[in-house]
Amino acid sequence: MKKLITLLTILSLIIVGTVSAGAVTIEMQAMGNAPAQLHQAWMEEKAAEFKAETGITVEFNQISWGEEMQRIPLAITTGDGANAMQVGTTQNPFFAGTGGLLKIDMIDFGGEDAFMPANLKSTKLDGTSYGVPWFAETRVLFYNTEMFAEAGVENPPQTWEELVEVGEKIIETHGEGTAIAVAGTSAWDLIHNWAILLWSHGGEMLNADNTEALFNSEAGVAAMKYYVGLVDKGLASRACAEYNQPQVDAAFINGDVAMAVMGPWNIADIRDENPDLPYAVVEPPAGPAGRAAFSGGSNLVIRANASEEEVNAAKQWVQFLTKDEILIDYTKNLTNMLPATKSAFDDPYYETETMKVFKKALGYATAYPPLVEWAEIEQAIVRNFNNVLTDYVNGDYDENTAKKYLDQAAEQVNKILND
Amino acid sequence: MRKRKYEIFKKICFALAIMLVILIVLVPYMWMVSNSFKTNLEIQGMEPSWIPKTFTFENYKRMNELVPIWHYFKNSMIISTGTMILTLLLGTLAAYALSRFKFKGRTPYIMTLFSTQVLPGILFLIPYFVIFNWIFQTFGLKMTNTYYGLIITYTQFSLPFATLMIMNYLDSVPREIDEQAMIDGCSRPEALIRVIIPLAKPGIAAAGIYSFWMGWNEILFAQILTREDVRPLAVGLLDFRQLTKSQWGSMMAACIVTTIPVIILFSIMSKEIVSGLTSGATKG
Amino acid sequence: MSKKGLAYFLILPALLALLFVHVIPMIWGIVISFLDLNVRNIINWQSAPFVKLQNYMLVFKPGTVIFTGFWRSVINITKFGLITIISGYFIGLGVALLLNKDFPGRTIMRGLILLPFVTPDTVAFSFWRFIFRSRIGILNDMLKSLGIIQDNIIWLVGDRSLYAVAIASIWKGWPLVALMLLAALQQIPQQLYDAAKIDGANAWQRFKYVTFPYLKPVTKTLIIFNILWNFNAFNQFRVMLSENPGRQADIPALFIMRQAFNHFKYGQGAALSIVLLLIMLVFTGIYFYVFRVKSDS
Repeated sequence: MKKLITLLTILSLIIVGTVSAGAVTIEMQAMGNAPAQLHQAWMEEKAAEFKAETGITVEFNQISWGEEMQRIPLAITTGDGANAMQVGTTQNPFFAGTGGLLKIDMIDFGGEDAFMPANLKSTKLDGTSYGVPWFAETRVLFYNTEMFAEAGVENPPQTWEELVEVGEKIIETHGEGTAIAVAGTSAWDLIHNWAILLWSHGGEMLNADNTEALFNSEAGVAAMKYYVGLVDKGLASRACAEYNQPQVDAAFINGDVAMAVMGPWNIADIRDENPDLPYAVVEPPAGPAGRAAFSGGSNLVIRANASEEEVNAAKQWVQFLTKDEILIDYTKNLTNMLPATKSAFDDPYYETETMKVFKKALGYATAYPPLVEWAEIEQAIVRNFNNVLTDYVNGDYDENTAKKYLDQAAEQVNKILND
Repeated sequence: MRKRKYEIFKKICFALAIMLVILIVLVPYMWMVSNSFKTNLEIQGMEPSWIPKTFTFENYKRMNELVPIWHYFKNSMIISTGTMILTLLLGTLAAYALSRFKFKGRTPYIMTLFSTQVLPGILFLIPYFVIFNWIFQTFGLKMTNTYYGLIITYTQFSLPFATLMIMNYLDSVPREIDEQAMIDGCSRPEALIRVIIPLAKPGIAAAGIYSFWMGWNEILFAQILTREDVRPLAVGLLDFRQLTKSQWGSMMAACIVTTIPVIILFSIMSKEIVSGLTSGATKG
Repeated sequence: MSKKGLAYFLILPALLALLFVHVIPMIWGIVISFLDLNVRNIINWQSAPFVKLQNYMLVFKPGTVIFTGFWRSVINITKFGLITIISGYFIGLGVALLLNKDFPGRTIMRGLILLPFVTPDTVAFSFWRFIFRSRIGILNDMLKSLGIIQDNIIWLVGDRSLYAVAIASIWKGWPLVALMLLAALQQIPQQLYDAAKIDGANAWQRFKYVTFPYLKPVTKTLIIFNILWNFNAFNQFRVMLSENPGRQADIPALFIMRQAFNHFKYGQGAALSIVLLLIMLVFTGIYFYVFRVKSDS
């Protein structure tokens, strides 16, 4: 009997213990910054560490970038979803505009000076921060050294013109469509690759005070024609018209194409899936107006529409994730992204050959205008970009197609800006 | 002689036509099965072929690691079964009343059931979303991302047609049987449960399968109103396309494994489904 | 309890369900369609400003993105509906006539052709998407080896995408047509054919005067159901072409869904779905007028 009572007491203690300790459970949501299983494992490991420190349980859940615009607004407006979330820097103002994000006082996260300025700027709407910078990314040209050597190409292309010359040599050796892969109509992020071309041709997205679209300029048209030309000249497979970015990445990682513009997270994919791939990276080729790069990245935001306990727990979790050693581990060993805190960026790892290229490109990279309306603007551009590619597939593409749809996109964007 | 030749020719044509039908039905499945045994490298890198050059079971092993297929399968089972039970419960009672009694509002009610078939599903999506949110904000009751939320939503689709199907079947059960049962000392509810429902089993089964099938196939509402925890298979299978890399092999493997039980179930019940659909649609 | 009382009692749950899951949401939807309900006020829908008919006006104002996008999607779905209904019906009829003959293995055949019908939509349209893929799909490969095409065709982008979806939908839809027509064919007494033969009727005349009259009622049913199903088609487009199929194959359901859940204009989406309902009513109205179907219940 005594034994039984002791047993029951111990049992009830355990139950009470777990209940009180596990009282707060929060959900963390991120995109595929690393191969899914590795990502999951890393998050679980860190969540366990975090739980040992604070008693808070963190559940991790990964969504795709393509789902971002549907899932995150639903979560923050309905109050049903993850507590801490990764958002793209370009969308942070839009999500902040819904009123569902927690206002962030940067003092709690090491002060404004701790972060890279580009990321920090993207968290702000009307002077208030609604997110904590997490990491930065930019896209550079990956190339397959073996395919280059086989085609007798010695140096990677430094300009877009050279890229075409190199590409022609490669298709002579390796067959049509093997020079480069580009994203097509299935890519939600179609705009990013074109943006690099636009800027390097001397174009701009919007005017300085963000009231008018400028991307339908001559530079924009030339950039679009160049993009379609890659497929038209046979450098990229015609099937690219139906690709999304992951298919582009897969084509390069499998060794089917010699070049692709990709992000740092692909380094981990290569390591995971085809470690023998002989590749190197080089800065994005220059256009008539010099080099340009895309500046993207991610911030961590906290859903305001939740109990105080959950909000505080999520805040602690974000503080934990942005601590130097955790952030360096995440960016260096898992995702190959570039950390958004200055102190983490000082790690010697970012002086390796590959990372130096990314770091350098990030130095002159351009970010999209931080506007609440940016999400809509991006969709309008992608929609019309799709029209261009669709016309190409249908055989309706001619000299004026690019201009026609860019003008149409500009008209729609101007309307969004002036509404 | 000539006539015999013509007969033979006709027979050959007939056999060819039958073969063609069989091919058209089966060829797409062959493509699915074949690819479930290919490596990703073969699917992406080589010329498409019917016979896998790189035969592997890897896809079957990995499919549940890439996407929680069995979790989604369980969700679909719960949601579809729940929809079926709720639909049959409400539908059978209503159908019995419609079949056995004349009462005010009977005809308008039947007409309403018919006209719900015209309503496009998307018409309800936005109101449901707003109402579910409003319930959550006002009463703190979670509706989105719950099994019951989705079951209620799907019952909305299946109930009208299921009621009509059961009603038509009950109409074919002679009223004398009710009366006989009541003379034998049953009350009306007893007569319904003990005598009529067993007799109407095939009709009720058809309606049940119909509502189950509806729940299993729905994508539009499931995609907006659920997340991973409750997401049914119809949407969950599409997760394979959201991965950072195309996983056609594993997706095909998952399609095969999760479809076999459903196909077996439906094949057993196929006669009832077709006759139920026919009667529900033609009479009333 | 009186007889009538019991009837109402039995029907009450279903009636309440109808009220709560159909009637109230529909009224709610109509109310929303007059509001500027967007991502900023969705938390508290009552606070959304009343904008009168503005959401509806955009649907009827030429030149707006909504006007072009929505009406294009209506035209696309009409095209899709006509193609799938007509082809599906004739293929189904052909197979039904074929299976109406006696031959060994007929029962197995009847089970077999049900397969496409009972395959879940996501599964069926996923493998069809795979078949239609330009580089890795089998269709282009087959066409190439038959010498019909030289270069890979891109099926899932542009003009061809609607037809690709239609082909997959026909493949999935004809078995039901065939089985329902077959059931009707088997009701025809053999004596009628014999009598027609004696009267000297040829095969076409026998079909026209003997067979077809028997198929008429089930044909009517099939067509109205196919109209409803195909004009509400969603799964095949969503699975084969994703959420945004591009202008040549966009459909109303996806267009409205994107308005509401990607562009966060819930009020606009609600207004569009009500316009869509009216279009559906016109379609069914035309059908009932053409076929003079009497509602006899």
